[in-house]
Amino acid sequence: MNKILVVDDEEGIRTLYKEELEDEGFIVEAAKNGEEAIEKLRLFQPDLITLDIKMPGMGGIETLKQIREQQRKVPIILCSAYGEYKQDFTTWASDAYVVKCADLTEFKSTIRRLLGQL
Amino acid sequence: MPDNPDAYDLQRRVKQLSTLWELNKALLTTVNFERILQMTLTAVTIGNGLGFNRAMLFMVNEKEESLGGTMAVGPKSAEEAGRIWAALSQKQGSTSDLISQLEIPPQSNSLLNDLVKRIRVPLEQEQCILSRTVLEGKSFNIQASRTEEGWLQTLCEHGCHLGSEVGCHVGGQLSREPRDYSFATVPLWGKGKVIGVILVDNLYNRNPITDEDLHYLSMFSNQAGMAIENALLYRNLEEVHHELKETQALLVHREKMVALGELSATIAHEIRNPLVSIGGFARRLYRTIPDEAPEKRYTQMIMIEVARLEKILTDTFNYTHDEPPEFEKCDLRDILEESLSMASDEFESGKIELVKEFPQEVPKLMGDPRQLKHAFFNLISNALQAMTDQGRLSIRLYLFSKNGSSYMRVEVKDTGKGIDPENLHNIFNPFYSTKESGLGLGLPIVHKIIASHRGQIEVDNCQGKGVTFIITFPVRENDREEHVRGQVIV
Repeated sequence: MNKILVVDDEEGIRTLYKEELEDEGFIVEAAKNGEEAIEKLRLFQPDLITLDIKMPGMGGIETLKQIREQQRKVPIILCSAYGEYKQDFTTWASDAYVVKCADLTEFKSTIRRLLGQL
Repeated sequence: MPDNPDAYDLQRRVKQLSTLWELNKALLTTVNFERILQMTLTAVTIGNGLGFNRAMLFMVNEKEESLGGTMAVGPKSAEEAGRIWAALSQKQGSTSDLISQLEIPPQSNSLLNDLVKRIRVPLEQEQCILSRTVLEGKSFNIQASRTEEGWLQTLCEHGCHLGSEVGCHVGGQLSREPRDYSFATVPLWGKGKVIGVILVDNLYNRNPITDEDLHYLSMFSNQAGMAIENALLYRNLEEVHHELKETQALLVHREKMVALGELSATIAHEIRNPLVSIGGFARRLYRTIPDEAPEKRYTQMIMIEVARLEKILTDTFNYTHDEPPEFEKCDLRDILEESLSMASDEFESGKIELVKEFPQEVPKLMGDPRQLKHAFFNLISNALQAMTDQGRLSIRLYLFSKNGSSYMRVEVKDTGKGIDPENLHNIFNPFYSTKESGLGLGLPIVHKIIASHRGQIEVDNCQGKGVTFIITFPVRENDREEHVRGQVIV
């Protein structure tokens, strides 16, 4: 079973993603900011990380950099309410960019694609 | 005739001057360029004026260094000339009144006028009498001559059609019999430069053109030249003013878009996150509620409304941000199918009949699939919204060639009420909407996406019967080759 680390400062989104992904059969751990994500990284050893960009404290882009220093290959999806960073996701070394939406179809299919399940 | 030749001469000159004064007075009544030209040529041809049979006007185009036919006045035949002259002699009033009250036909259908308007003579063609009149700044009187020597040629071999109308060399032959036909040209002087040429002839009454006639014409054309130049300046000023107004409107629009863009980016973040939670949990609830429970409908309503709010955010964002398309090879059939599936709920009720007409093979199109889906989804949802009770949505995809280039075309046709002609010119303007809800960004986004794909969008509106949106994309030759070979490299 694949493990997913969900990083988002909004409690509602964290819970929604966690429960939806657990329903899909994943093991999910949630972190509310960058610092917590880095802490959980070593113990949890996720197969994929979903990362919000705008978070208080350490934001998504800085977190992404630090994760890459430790784990080069883990797939990372940037999830944001902002559409304008979409074209920059590869320069930040993330693997995908998903604009947040209540319909999680695209979100889930991106996860499955990156995990090689599609 | 007075006995004294000097007195006769004096009387004639007084008459000429007073006619000139009348004509100039008429020219002062307007600054409208077309009207000034019409009045000038009428003054040259009217019996009470200068009395030539026909007059043609050519204006200098400084940018292109050429002379272009602008207007011509003259009867089509000797019979028509007779009728016009007879009618004019019946009219009462001074010459200036007659000319200034002229009705300008909205589009002159005279053959001569059409022919003259097609003429372009490069100024470097020095053998052409028209160019020479400009370059040398003097008049030419091509008198009826028994030999060819006195004749000048226009530039017939370069597609000039003037040869069929006036005397010039066509393929080494004179186009008119030199013994009974003469014509003359005079330069139109603006401030310090020649701005055009007037060509006159006496095709119907065969009167010779005397040096005195030409002198008289030159005197008038000097005045007319100034009037035409003023009208031209006025027209340029009007054009510049119009352009300035358009640029100003564009700037205001851009500023609005920038402000809206900044606002939407800030709001989007603050609104989208709670919307994802609301909508997301509503979906979770929806899945757990049994079909017969009324809560099922309530949660469905929440999901629909959240989707609507999300669409508003996406539309505002997309319209105010120039997101460059991410091109890849895509199959328009797949794009259309996916756009249709996004609107599939509407077809479930069975009120709308869907007719699809896709060819078996289509070349790949270089496009951003996400943006194209968005554009076609907007068109499809508009079409569905236009058919409130029932109707038929037809989506047709086909290929065609025009002038050696290949195109792919999509037609999205509904059987709704059509668009009110009053609103038609506004449908691609942002924030213009006739719907009760909606921002009015749907069609502007479609327009923007299609334009970024080098496509064109047209509307075939049939009020009361429906609307067809016609989208045409150019097909690049290498796309076509890959299609023919059946190998597509993505």
